[in-house]
Amino acid sequence: MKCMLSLIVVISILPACRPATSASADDKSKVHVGIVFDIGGKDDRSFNAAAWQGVNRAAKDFPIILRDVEPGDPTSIEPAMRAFAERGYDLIIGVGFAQTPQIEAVAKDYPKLNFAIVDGVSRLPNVASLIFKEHEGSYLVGMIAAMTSRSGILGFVGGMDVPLIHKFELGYEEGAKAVNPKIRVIPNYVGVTDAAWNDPVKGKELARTQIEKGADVIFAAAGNSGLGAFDAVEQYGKDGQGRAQRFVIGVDSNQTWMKPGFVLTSMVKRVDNAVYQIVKDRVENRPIGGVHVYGLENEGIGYAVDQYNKDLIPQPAIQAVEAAKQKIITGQIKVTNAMEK
Amino acid sequence: MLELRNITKRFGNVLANDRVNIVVRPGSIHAIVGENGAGKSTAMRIAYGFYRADSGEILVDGKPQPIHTPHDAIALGIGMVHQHFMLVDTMTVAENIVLGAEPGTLISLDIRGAGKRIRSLSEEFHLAIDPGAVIENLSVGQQQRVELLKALYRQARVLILDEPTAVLTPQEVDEFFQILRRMREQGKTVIIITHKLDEVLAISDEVTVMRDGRVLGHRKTAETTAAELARLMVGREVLLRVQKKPAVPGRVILSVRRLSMKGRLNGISFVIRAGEILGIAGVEGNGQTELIEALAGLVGESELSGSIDFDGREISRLSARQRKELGIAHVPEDRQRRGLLLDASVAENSILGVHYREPAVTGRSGIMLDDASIRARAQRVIEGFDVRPANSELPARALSGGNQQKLIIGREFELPPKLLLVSQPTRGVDIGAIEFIHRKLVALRDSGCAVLLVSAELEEVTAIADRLMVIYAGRIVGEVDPTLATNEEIGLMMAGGSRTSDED
Amino acid sequence: MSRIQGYAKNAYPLANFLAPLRGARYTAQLMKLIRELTFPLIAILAAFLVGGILVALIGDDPIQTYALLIGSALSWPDGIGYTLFYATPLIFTGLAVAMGFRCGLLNIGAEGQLTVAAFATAWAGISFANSSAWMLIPLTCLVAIASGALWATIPGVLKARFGSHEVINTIMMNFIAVGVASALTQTYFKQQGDPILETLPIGDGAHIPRIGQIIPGIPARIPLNMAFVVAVLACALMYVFLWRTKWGYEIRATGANPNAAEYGGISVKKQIVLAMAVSGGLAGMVAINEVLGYRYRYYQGFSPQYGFTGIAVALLGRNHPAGVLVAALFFGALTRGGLFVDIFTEKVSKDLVLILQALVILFVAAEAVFRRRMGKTESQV
Repeated sequence: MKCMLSLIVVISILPACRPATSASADDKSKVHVGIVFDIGGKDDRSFNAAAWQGVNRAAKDFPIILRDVEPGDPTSIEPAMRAFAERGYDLIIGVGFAQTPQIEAVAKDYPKLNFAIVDGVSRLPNVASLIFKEHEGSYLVGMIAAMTSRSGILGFVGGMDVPLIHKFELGYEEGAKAVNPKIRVIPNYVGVTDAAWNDPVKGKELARTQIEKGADVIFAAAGNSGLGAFDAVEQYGKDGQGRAQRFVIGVDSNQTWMKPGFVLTSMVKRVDNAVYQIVKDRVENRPIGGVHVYGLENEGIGYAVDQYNKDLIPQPAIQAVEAAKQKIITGQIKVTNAMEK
Repeated sequence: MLELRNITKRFGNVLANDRVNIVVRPGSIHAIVGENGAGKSTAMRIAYGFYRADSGEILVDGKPQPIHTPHDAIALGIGMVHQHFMLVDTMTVAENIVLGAEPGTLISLDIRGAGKRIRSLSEEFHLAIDPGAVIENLSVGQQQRVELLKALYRQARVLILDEPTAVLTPQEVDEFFQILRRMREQGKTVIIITHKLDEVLAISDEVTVMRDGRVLGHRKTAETTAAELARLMVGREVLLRVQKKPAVPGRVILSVRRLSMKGRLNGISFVIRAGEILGIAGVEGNGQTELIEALAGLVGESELSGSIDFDGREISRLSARQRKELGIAHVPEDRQRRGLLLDASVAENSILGVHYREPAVTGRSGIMLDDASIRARAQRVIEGFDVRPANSELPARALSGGNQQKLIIGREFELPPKLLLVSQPTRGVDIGAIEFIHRKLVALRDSGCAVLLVSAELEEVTAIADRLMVIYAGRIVGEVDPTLATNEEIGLMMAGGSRTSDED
Repeated sequence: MSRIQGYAKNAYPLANFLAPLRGARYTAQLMKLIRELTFPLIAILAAFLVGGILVALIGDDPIQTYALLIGSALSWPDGIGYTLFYATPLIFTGLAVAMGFRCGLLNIGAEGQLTVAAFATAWAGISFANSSAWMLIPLTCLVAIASGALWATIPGVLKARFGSHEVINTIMMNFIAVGVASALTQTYFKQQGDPILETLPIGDGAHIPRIGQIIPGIPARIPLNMAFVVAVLACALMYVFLWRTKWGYEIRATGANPNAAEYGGISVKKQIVLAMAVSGGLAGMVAINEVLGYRYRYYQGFSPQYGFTGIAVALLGRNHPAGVLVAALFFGALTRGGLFVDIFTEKVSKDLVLILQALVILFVAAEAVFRRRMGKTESQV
């Protein structure tokens, strides 16, 4: 009975504490930034991780208040955005194209707030669309793959079977064919639902199948699932000279450090830069809506060469790739964008 | 030997035992009688350690003993045979008896040694039980003797038997009483819980009567009468035998020809006329259930053959609902399983079967239940059949067995019926209610209704029925005049003995 | 008399719970209601107490956390608005499961039924996009109910006809529902080049208004829409249907005791099919909220397991429409508050809400066991 009494007391004081008391978070002068991650979560060492890195860098450089949500399941994404909006967050960032409909629904209800969607395109005036020319970066890593491959067969492991990832696949294939017109690319996709981003087991399975069919370089554009491909190439070990038998190409973040020697390069998508820039724009009160394109020309897209992989790619190859890069920037080479086909 | 002193036990607000005092003399057969809910089972379960009394004490051999669990009771030499047997069907007699009686697992036990002891116990008391027999192959009477053996094996000096005759045929009851007398001769003490007065008079040395949780009297059996015991039990004068005028049969209401159901019913034919009660006696499980359900329309048409004519119309293709509409009412043998919606209110139960038509639904829409008329109907049943408590809002579950039965019978009388199929109408019902139900059945007959009465209680069918048929293994083995036939005669037919009738 | 009091005390008030309160029985009914509410309230308090201890162990302040939870769920207007909004689909699925239960059926398939209904509703909204609202709204609502009902009727018929268990069948139907809706969306109803598995938007005429567009003072940004009103009406209708019509009587009789129902001339098979159809129709009404009132399209994975949460809602609401309404509001408030706890506390995640829900259900289930035990001891008297 005593226990009951104390409970009643506790419950009865509860409404007395206003929710607004929750901590320091309510300094109205600061810009409030809320970020909603994709299903993979901010520790996917890839796409979400890059976004997380970007907002954190911005939080160090500017006086902002930053809150993040890892929704865990697709249906929690929109409520999280609404919670930010309701609290008057100045900039709400959605990570991943799958969040486009949700962010649009919320943005329509809160026209005075700013939103940004990574990888997605929205026509709403208060939504910034941060998109990347992945096909161009994929073209460059496709060249490197073709110059590295001995078998003349390449693998491509995509995450969810959607047009965005077709963009990677087609650019990759065009780059490879530019080096070696006879080269063959085996494309596979993990699945057709959100879960495709988070299934390393299936990713590994696909990579192994491709290797068995002769592929010796595999481009994994599959978020967390791609990590399975990393495991797969590691299993084939290195030859007498200490050179890996099979290679994997990472995606989004620079992943060369994860399995040194096995990761040929990464198709780096500087989500961090894009996210950092949009926060900066908001802090500096620049207009935000519209499409922000990141490509080779503004360092939004690139390929990784660092201490982990510089020995894997010979200098002439790098020169050839750099030359192609310039030609793409100047428009001499046109890489097909699968989404505009 | 065993004495309960000032035992009081409450369940929630219910006072189940109120300062109960019972003294059982060693070497006697002591009957405890009372209606359902009188508290007799509770008192004995306290003595067996199944419940703990709130206050009061239990004395064994004159010494107060703390009996908190059945183990304590067994250690003191008290054994109990429950109404529902606690036997594992797939095991042998010896295994069942040893199970739980001795420490160690079943595998390591010396079953053969135990078997010897069981055999000698069985011979000592003339139980005729083979220790190696598997339980599921034994008859109900034999299973009961296994329960007795179980108690004897554990060296019980006092045996408490809860309604032991409920499951037995008249012949088996006689045999069973012989066994009890032999036990008394061997110095055992027997306590028998029952509500059947004739048994009390037949077997017991002393009798304790309980009502509403209290002990209302002790009698030496030789010095009391059934009428006195009934008065004590019910609290008023009770007519033990219904008085009725001779039947005045009218036209044929129901005519059954060669009704058969595979493995269950075998070419049953009979007729019932308006204004008479046809009784069907028989040991349970000989096709009575199937016969009644077939007549009520609850057996799939494809399973039956033969014809059923009701009031000049072939009805074997009609549904249960259609038959009810023609005026066939049915009081099912298992009132809780078949007859009631236990969690629904008395009012809702009072319209089961007629819920879809006027007056249960309003005439205007034909869809909406008419609360007022349902309530009125429930009230008529409650008043006409003395259903207590008289509250139509209570769930049927809250009623005692007798009141549940009166609710069902009242509902069926409301139909109104031209033919009433009634099965085990007084099973588990108090003496007071039995008398009431019997009077109502006779009154229904007198109003010109045909009644088909199935009962396992020989007393009941012989007292109520105007004609009596005996069913055995799905066939009618004979018809007798209930006023002339002796119990032995009928009992013999119930056990599949010779036929005394030439009717087919 | 003592027996009567005993029964009245712990008893089975469910039988008449919330029967019309009239006249002299008013006080008795009120007492019943209070008794009926005591246990769930204790269960909720106990769950919050345990949850609070967990929060403290994680290292956040339980009082602040609960203040945030309750405050954000009940603040005006957004908190209340969203709580009602989140509760709306749960009212429908709770009613759906309760309807099954009343007939003795466990409809695990509300999830599949609402998926099919959402797709079918979007289909109707797209195919007849040019009709006027007067035509389109009734039509799409009808499609929502009919398609959910149809999907549920299949396992109902299988049970009635072949006796195959509805739990297995409804689960299977869930998988089929998602597969069929996804495949049809992918093949026929997707906007060209849309990377997301969603249909085209439905016609404007099929949009049902938000509450904020009707009642001044409630901001229109809150997605709470007329479907909530429909849900409350559905509660009332279900009460009338179950307790005031002969059909409801037959369904309840079948659920309470199929043997007795059969004895009473009720076709148990018919009731099973009917109850499943009504249950599925109720589940299908989720589409009114999700498609017509909120997203204006079908998209794959729109339901955070509403169908399964509905089982918990029905359990907590004791399979009574009024109870379902209260339980759904409670779950809606938890969803809303949990979101804020997740985002705006340092350490506590929204798993707290899952734990609270689980604890409440656990305590309620424990109470059922407790009651049954009490009932048993008494019936042995």
